[in-house]
Amino acid sequence: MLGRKYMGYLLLVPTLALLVFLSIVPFVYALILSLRHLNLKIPRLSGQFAALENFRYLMREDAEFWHSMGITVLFLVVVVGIEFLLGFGLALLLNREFRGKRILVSLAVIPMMIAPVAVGLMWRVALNYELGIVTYLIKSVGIPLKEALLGTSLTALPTLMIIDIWQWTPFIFLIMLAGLHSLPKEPYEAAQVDGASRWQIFRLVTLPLLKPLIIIALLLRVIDAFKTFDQVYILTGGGPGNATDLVCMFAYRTNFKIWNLGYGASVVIVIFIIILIVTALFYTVTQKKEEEVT
Amino acid sequence: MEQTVITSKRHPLEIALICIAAFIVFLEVAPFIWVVLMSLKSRLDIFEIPPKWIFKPILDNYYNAFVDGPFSKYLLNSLIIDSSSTLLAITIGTLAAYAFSRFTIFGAKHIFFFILTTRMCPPVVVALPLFIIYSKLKLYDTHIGVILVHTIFNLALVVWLMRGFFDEIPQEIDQAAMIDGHSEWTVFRKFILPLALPGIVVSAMFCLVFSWNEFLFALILTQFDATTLPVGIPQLVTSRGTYWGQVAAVGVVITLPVLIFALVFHKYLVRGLTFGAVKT
Repeated sequence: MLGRKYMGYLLLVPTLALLVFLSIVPFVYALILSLRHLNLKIPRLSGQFAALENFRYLMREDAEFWHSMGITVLFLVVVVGIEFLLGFGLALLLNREFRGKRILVSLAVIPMMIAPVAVGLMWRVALNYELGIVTYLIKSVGIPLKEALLGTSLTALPTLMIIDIWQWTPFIFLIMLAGLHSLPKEPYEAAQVDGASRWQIFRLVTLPLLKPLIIIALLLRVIDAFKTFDQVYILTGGGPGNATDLVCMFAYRTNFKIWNLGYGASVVIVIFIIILIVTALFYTVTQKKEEEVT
Repeated sequence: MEQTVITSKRHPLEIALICIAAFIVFLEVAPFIWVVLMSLKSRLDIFEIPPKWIFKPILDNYYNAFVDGPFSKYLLNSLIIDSSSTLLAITIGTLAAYAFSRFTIFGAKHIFFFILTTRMCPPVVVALPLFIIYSKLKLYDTHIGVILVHTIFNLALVVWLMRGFFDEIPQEIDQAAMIDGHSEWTVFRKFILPLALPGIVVSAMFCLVFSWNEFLFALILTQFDATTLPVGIPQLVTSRGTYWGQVAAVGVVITLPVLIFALVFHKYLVRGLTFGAVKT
């Protein structure tokens, strides 16, 4: 008998082996690349050791990168904020029993379960200038539309935001609805005995009880919104100009279109560090929640 | 008492609120209805403005994409890759989750966190190194190559979800079985695993969906032989124009299984989507 001591480690071996091979190795590879000049289109510089030159350029000089970071943060704040308000509001509206509720909730969650690529293409059709139904509806309301919504730098990013809100509001809604369902009855009874108003009950009982859940939902949304790529790839490719060049799209273009691999690797490392920080927050919150339960 | 009053006779305001909610839900679904209609239209009908709501439905778009076009191949690739990677992720992920749930592991918290980061990390971070490694190992554009990456990003989900499911099984069951003289492995296989089966099914379904939807890895690591359904769709947007009808048809095919999943596993959606952080 192998004994308890080693069995646990043995069970972990396959998972860790695969993760090392396909996560750590590529990551270390990226780390090495980021310290080199390597541009497949400019072979002259290729392979030279660059120390932290890529990072210095990224941080200090690359206006395009900072533009990408800027619109990514803008995208993230607007989108997650509105999704939260709408999703939470919708959950409060539907937090009562009525016939057909189950089917309504199931239907509402469809947009976020579907392949982002399919969502992107669907909206590409709907927003098409000649045959799109959205274009048609906007025109029939009487708003003159000279170009496709995704075709001008003024409207492209807000359009992407609306699509993201459409797709992910159900996520917040679903989590908050589950949270509202699981709330204990006693604090409400106590609050009613004390004669608290509905608003007071919401602010002083519901919100504090839901706080861990709200944080979890928001952090997951922030991570996902930061990662937005598929829709951008399908809908705008980062354009027009670089109006919708969210940071993952920027990294993709640097690596796979411009083939500036050394620099692209440093972009990717910076993205990773940001995600790592948010993930750490998420981890801390979930572990704390676990401890409270047990 | 108040509860019964509300259900028997509703306040008009409440009905209005439910109607608003229903309208929002309609907005969420409306684009799909339009796509389904579009997939059944002829080329001429698609370009009709204002949109036609009544027309003679045809299956040409499906035929063109799946019989004449390469989409039956992509569909088959997707099925092979998604089921294999799910099987692999479930098998090894369940073992790891069991280890986290029942055994003392040095640095368990850190390893658990590390596993999560592999999931949260945007695919673009490791895409290029993987592309280079795959080219060297001759894994580029192979089924095995895509199966492995899909396994990786589903592994974290399985470990996190299954750990929660294992934690819900009382430790007394293991202890009783151990006292009866069963080995650690037998306890796991004969006693715990059957109890964890619902959790395994739920996790597997989530793996299937995420693998089915995955885009960037499949885009970068395949060319034709192992191309999956999501990667195939953008190919319908060509320099000579876009095959909108086929886009819609493939869109319907890619959506339907997920739709069924959402309806059947309704109860577990929150748990799966929050990595088990919210238990329902």
